[in-house]
Amino acid sequence: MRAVCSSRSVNSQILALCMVLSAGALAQSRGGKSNSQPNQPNVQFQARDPGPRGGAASAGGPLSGLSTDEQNFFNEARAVFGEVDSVSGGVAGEEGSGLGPTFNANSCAACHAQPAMGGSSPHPRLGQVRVVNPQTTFGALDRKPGKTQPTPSFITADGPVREARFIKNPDGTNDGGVHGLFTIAGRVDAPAGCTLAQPDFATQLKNNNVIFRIPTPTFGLGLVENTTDETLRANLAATASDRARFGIGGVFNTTGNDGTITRFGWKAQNKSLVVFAGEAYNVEQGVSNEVFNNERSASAACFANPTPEDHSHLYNEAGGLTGTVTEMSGDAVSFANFMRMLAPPAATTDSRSEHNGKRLFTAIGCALCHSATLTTNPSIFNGQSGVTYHPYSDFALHHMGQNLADFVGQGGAGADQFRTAPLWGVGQRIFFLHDGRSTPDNGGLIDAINQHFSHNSRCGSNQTFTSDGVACDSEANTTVKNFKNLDEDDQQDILNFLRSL
Amino acid sequence: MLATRPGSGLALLVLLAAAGPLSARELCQAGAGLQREIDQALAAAPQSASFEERVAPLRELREKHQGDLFVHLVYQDLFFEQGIEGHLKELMEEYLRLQVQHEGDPFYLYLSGRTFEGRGTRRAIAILQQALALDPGFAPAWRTLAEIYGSTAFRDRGKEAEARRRFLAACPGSAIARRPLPPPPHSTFFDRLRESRLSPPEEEALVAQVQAALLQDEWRALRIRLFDFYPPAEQQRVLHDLQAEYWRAWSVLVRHYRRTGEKDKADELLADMENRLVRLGGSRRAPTFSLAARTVLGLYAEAHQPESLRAALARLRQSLNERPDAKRAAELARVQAAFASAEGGAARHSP
Repeated sequence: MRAVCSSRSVNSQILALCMVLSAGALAQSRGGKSNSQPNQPNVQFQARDPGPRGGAASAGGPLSGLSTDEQNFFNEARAVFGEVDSVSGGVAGEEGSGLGPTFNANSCAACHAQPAMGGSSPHPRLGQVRVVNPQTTFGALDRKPGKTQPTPSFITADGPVREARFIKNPDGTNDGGVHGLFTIAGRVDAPAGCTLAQPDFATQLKNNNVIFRIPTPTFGLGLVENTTDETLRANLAATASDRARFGIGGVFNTTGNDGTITRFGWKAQNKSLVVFAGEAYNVEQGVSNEVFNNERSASAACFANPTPEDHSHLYNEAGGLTGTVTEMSGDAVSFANFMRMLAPPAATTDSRSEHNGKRLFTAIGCALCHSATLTTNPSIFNGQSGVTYHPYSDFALHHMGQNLADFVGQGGAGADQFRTAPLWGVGQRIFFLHDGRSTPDNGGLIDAINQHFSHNSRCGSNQTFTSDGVACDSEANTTVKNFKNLDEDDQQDILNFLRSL
Repeated sequence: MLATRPGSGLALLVLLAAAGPLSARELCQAGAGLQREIDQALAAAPQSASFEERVAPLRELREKHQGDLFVHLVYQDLFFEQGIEGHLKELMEEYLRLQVQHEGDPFYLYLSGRTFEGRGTRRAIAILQQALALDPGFAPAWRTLAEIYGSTAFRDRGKEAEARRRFLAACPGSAIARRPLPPPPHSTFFDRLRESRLSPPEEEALVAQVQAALLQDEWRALRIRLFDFYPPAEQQRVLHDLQAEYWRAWSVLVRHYRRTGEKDKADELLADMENRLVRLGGSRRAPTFSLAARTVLGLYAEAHQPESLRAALARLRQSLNERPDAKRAAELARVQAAFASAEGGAARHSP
């Protein structure tokens, strides 16, 4: 706080906040640093990401307050989320069916793993779930001899789980779609005539035509789904004048069908958890379903199953006409039900450093987008009506500029627009930003914060957007400058606070 | 009416101009010359050829004889017998396009309806009845209805008899196909293995034999899933049998590797089996859980690896603790009881 309010700080916009906070924050910002040594000169100290928080997973269980029946419902849906798919369900240990023709993974839980089922990319040496990136195994899993497929170069054992999208089609038109990392050709259960090859990622990488996305954690999403548009709009409107002072815009992505807010996915492109689940099932695992009904590949010789491969069941597994919701529903619906009842991550914000970081987080402008609190609508589930929760997101889209732009449009989200990533659970995450570029190897959270800054020097003095719709300056620029103007201790407090979420 | 292939209006005229009228004989069975051409087209590609390679000569023949019923039927039957879902769907779409192009022509209505036979059989029946409404004497439609009503899943003896009568009145002495076509045979490899009837060359090529057996049964399961002639219970059973076969196949390979001194390969495969077993513990669709547990634990027991056995059991218990499931817990308790002595160090159980 001292630095950001010093004469070096040319940012008059935060002057008012400095004045309000100076007394309290200055008094407390020196205490409770987990990384600084007392009674020692601090000249060498540099703020750094403490890394993923240890201890038990902060999430993965059901919402508190659910009835016993609802908890059983959650447990059944969670089992479906963990199922592994093969092409037709024949391979032992892979009883789900519909995998491929192209796929990035064979199970939701393979990628939504850390710190518990429903989360994000795991890491072999960090976090609660220590396993290698599962995508490094799919090229060899269940393959006939000599029919393994290479793992693309951007997938590594200790790197993030990724999907790949191509920006342009060969004819220069916009693509933006996901191109599966693997195909079923050569698997033991693939149809004999299926010879579908993997995309030529090496050439696409050479042509700078590939962007990546990592799995978004799904904890607490039922609360988000059950928040009204009015609540979200009111929350955004409440900070309008402050945001304007910080150069922050913010709009909601909406569906062209009914005009309501879409809120799930990196660009808030999906309306509901069923849509979110249905899209992922088709795109990531190649399983056509009742929401996304058609196979994505054009290779008829690789279509093994009638469509949709995942669907509601007329008969239960014993052949009867009745069963539990999960028995009779398609998997995509069960995935949505699992996410809907999945509790939000439990924050552990406790130390003086973390509390100071929390105050600074607001003071320097982070909370203008990563807004802390929302409240749910009346709910069909026990104990979930009028729940106040803390996602640290406004669920709106913001222009992040050239640095983060992926040039993929989704719904109303343009080339450089992203939904404010919810920060709940960030304390136990390994990889950050939409493409997982911020990793334990390059600074983690520090890098993620820095990556929010973007200035396009080729823009003219009065220019705000380039011809492809990318903002000349990121909406986060002022806030990132404020962060960098904090002294290292205060930066550390913010990092400690984030790791307590 | 059977002397010519009836139809309506312009479509009929166009078709007749293109192909000429079909005689009753041509609607009942292929002429000798055409049959020779069909046989040649069917034999043009070797048995090992891909589906596309096998269908290409028939596609050419169909171009040459566009208005001949039996060329279309043989072409369709190749899809039914050897195609997978993607091919079958393409076939449906192709004949739907032809039906639209030849609107009101019972010949193309019939061919389109036939592509749904066994895939959406109720829809096939409806389309065939539309064709018969246009031409009540259209013999091929009666024949296909007789096939359908004679099948297990859609059996209706009265309707089958009526359809058969109407068809045979037009085509005396002609045969009615048996539907559905029998699926590929179930592999007898594992049965023979249990009876120790593997021949020396088979023992030599055990890995390839196991793989071939699994592929054969994958194909069988796939075929059965594609057709609604097979009731859901049978589809489930075949899938379950296939899943069980994988556990047997892997146990055969583990023992084979142990026998041939390839311990690393045996250990690697067994570790993979154990991982799959642990995943099964948390899956709602795992009818093979008991078999899988007995297989994995049995392989540890017979190799005198009580520590590995105990570790596998501990992982299964942990998995069940994380995802409670009373049925699965009971199954595990029974399996654990069977291996109680082996867990303590002695290998007495070999499933």
